[in-house]
Amino acid sequence: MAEQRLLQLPDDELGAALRGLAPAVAWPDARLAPNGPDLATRVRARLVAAPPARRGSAWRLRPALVLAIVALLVMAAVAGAVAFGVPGIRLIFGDPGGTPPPAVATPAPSPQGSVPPAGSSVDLGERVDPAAAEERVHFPVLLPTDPGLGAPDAAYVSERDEVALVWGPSDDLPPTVESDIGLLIMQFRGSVSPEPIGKIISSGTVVEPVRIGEGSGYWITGNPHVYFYFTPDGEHVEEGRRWVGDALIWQRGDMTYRIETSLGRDAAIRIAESLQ
Amino acid sequence: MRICASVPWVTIRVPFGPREPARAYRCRRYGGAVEGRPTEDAEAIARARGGDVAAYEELVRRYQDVALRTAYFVCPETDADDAVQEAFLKAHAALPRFRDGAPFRPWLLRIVANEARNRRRSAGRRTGLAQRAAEVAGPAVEPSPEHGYLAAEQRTALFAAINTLRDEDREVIGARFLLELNEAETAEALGIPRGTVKSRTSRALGRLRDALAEGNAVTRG
Repeated sequence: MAEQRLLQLPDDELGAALRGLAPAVAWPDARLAPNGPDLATRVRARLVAAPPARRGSAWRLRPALVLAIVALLVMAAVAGAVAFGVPGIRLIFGDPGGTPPPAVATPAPSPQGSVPPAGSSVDLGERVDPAAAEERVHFPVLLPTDPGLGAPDAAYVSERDEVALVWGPSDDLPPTVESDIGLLIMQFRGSVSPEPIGKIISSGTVVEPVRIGEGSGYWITGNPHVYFYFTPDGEHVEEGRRWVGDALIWQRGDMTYRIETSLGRDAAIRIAESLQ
Repeated sequence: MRICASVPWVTIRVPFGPREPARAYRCRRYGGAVEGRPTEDAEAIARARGGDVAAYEELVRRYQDVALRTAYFVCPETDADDAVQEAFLKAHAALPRFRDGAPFRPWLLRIVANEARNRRRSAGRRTGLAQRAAEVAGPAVEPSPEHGYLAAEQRTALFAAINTLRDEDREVIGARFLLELNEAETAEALGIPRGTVKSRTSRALGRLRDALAEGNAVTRG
């Protein structure tokens, strides 16, 4: 009997046996996903972001001034970590450390040989019928009107009512940093008060202010980055499970939208402007 | 003898006598991180106090694995990452009160353990220590030097016994043997008097034997 032998051991030998157990323990990993940012990166992101309670009306700057400061900070991004808050969108510059994911990897074949739904390799929430996504949340879910895109291949709703529409990779939609995603459109509710969106961005990442229809947003490209934000009541929401590649982020009314695509800036803006 | 040549400041222990035949060396290594020397910690702490977030990030990276393991002993696994993040944020805020020259690791682990206990109280439970899936069936090939002398069924019996222990016993066994903290570090991390660590460890081992005996009875019965 295994127990019989163990319980006869004196303290020091039982201790040695326990020490020998350590390599067999399924310890938690500092990375929530194999290619995601480690805990140190996520802690830094939160430190740089600063408590949202400190941000008040002083941050409600005029749009022209906002664009000017953003441009300045984009240039400053390479110099070190700088945090910046604007109404609606908060960008955080700094080297995230850790290891960005390798270039697009081949998706692992499923055991049954069937193709898993697009985006299933990423924790985007509960998978729902794309046509029924709107029923799960309290806002209209917009769809791109480009006939070439067609309906999304999959849709997900997170615990925080973030809707993710996913198109799988194809000839027209090259894969993003996630090999099973060709295009991702995320939509979630903002608030009347500034809802800061945080990004921690490496020095190899470029943030470009862009126009999207009547509004403005940011095109983020270059090195993969992690992304997080704060809800209006100060809750820290973390996209800590993965790195994000090229992305467009903008606000319309009280909604925030984010597109991840490898098609480039102009195509991303066209898709953004076509959302209805 | 194998040593960690790439990380010259790690603790290297060479066994004396036959008691630990499989442990030819041991590094202060958790996951991929190697903990730094006190002087390196002091430097990072000084820079972090001055507002250098990158310096603090490096300190976090150095200790994130042992912090996660500590939390894993205390609270439900699903809360461990969150508990450790909060602990590092609180530790950052408390850096001005950190005593210069004191070891950082036990000071940090005290904050981690407290944070994890809060979550255990909220959750009203903790999860058991789990074996890596590959270990459950036992090594298919040559056993690794670290635990080759523990047969697969002995490991399973130990896991089961540890998971029946009450929180206090499990924590001290985790700290002393699985995290290999010394008595002083264990005392600070768990918030108990140093003189109590030895007696508490001894009692916990006794109760572990009781649990093993019960497991033995079940197996035979």
